[in-house]
Amino acid sequence: MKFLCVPCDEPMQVVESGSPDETGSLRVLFRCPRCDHTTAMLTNAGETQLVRSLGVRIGGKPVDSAGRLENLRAGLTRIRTDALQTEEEAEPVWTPAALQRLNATPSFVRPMIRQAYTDYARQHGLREITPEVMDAARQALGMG
Amino acid sequence: MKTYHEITGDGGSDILGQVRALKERLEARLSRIENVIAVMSGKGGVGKSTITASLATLLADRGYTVGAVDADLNGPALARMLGVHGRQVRLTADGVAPAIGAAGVRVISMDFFLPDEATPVAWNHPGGLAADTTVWRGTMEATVLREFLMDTTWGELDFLFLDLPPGSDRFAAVAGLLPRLAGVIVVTVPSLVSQAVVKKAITAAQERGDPLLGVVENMAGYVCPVCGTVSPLFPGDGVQEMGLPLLGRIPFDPRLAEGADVGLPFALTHPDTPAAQALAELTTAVEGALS
Repeated sequence: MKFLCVPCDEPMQVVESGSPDETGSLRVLFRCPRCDHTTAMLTNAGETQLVRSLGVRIGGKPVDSAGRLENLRAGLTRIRTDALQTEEEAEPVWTPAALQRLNATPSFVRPMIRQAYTDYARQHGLREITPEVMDAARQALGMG
Repeated sequence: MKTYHEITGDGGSDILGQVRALKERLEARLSRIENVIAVMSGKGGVGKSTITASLATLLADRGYTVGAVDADLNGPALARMLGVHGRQVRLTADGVAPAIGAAGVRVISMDFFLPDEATPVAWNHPGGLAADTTVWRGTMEATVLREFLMDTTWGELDFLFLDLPPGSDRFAAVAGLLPRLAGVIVVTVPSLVSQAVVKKAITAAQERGDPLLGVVENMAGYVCPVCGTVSPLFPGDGVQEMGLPLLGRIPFDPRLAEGADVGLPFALTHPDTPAAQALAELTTAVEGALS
């Protein structure tokens, strides 16, 4: 899709493109580089989403949207609100006693057990994983 | 007045540039993965996810780094089988860190994003289109699969498995996203119904020139847990000629399903059983087919 300023016979350029409003409509402003005439392209929610489902954006794609499962998060009607943890939540530290206990588990289940305890500690705001934290996690997670 | 083709560029959106950038991002992410392997079948319920989970964990147990994409968005099963059902995933500057499942297998699944088990996958839909419009669902599913591949911080992997949904058309859509595919494993059960459907999927894959590694005959008999006798589960003589190497015949063992339910890899927890040994031989056959 291209826009042409008819009096100038000049292709118009994107000058502003924001995020869709609450109805899903997107506003993109185009300006003629010769006469400065400005026109707005307004999309309905379907048009906005159809373009976004291709992974592209009218008016250019912001850099910070890279790597974030953007369409999945915007597209799912019902999505788990706590599915994604942010990086700011620092990795809890394992005490030697907790590590020793972790290392006693079979090697093929150890990585997922480690992550389960780590997730539990993060969710509860704990900075350290101790045997006591492991006991509490086992009980909370129904790990027997 | 100028015509469309007389105007160069698109006014500043650079849609073509964005499409190119997406392709490059996907290629960059997959460039550190040695082998991308799709596990498919034309038929549902034949055990694709079980075979995928078993192959992934056995290869990881042999020292390889392995990842798995639960590409069946509407019926994600792999997360549970690999012990990461309902897991949260971490958002990093580089993308989304996969969950670490059984044997250290790195997993991404729709399972992580649904509020509960009863919630089906439903997409916000454009005005004027019904929510379940096939075209719209297909578009969103392809988009999300691309995001799973492209936005997950896989790191360096020896193997990345794609556990595909049933239907040969679904495989074509996924294969179209991938810059390269090391191999396709086809799973069937011995029933004539399944074989007939799977043959169609094989023909479609052959016509596209997909790198088919061979066929896995799953549920090839039932192993009595008491006496170890193998009895047939389906009438007939097993999988007939399909024009592909037979990579393995895996007998059914109810403990395999029990392990899958709780995320414990049966092939590693019961290595001496006939089913686990058959899975180990299948894994060796896949290693051999790719070497």
